Amino acid sequence: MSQPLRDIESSPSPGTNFMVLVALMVLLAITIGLSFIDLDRYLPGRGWSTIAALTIAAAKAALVLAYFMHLKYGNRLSILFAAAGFTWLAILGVYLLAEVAIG
Amino acid sequence: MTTDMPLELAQAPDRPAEQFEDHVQQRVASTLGMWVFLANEILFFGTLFVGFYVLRQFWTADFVEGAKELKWWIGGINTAVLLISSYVMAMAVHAAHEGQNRKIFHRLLITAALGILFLLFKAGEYGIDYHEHLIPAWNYTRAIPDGGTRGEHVELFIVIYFITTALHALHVLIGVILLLVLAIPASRGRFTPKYHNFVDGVGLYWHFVDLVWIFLYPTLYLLRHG
Repeated sequence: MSQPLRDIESSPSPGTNFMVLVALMVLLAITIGLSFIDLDRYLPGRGWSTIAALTIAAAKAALVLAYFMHLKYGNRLSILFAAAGFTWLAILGVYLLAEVAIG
Repeated sequence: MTTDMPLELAQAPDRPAEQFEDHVQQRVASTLGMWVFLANEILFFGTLFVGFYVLRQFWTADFVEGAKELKWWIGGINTAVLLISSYVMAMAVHAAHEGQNRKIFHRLLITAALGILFLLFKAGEYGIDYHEHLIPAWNYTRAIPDGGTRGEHVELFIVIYFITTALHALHVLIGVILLLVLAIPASRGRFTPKYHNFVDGVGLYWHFVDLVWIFLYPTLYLLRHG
């Protein structure tokens, strides 16, 4: 049994879990609040409201993945497989949207 | 008593399954298997998201109009419900690591109850959608009941809304069933600090369902500006 696999036994404390929930709720309130404001009126370019909403969603997802799903605590193999899923999705999304945006 | 459920759920063995060296190796294999499944699920839902954003690029104004048709506050309440349920599930897994079966049992039931609450809100929202003539292939109309006309491609947005939220609701329903099934061995004190892979696995699945909604909510409800 190789050593790195041992750390799968650890997990976040109840206090940490609760702080993650508080952070998720704060981010939810922020993203709802921001959805009432058209950020493009205050910033150059366009699409800022979409970028803000998706950035906040990504932050919430990172918290869930790292703490609730134990990726911060688990073994590296789980991180690799999770990353594989998101990487393939990124390849699909980036190439397709680049094609659409350029035309 | 042991005949009414699979052997591995009915008893907490002192020894790992024979193909594993020890409990840790068995848990690593179990967790990894779950992640392989979740990587598939990422792509399953991911293609729908990418499709949405590609179409939104073409018909941004109609998709903004579509987002305004939805009830952001119902989606918001449901987001809070799922986030809290994820927290309770994380605490159930925490209790499982310590082998506290009573706490596992209670927390699984609370998580399942929150999942059912989510489904009830979702069903109520579909009911409102029906009254507003928003259900494609059933009663969708371009004429808005209160007056005015919906944009040409608003229906496309609504179609994606129903496909994604219904598929997500199906995942929530499967999760609720898994949680309730898992509560049976917990109520009989089957889990030990060494043996709780089922709780971990269902926990990962439940958090993933939460993860999908974390992206679905802003994508469908909150993109109300170009």
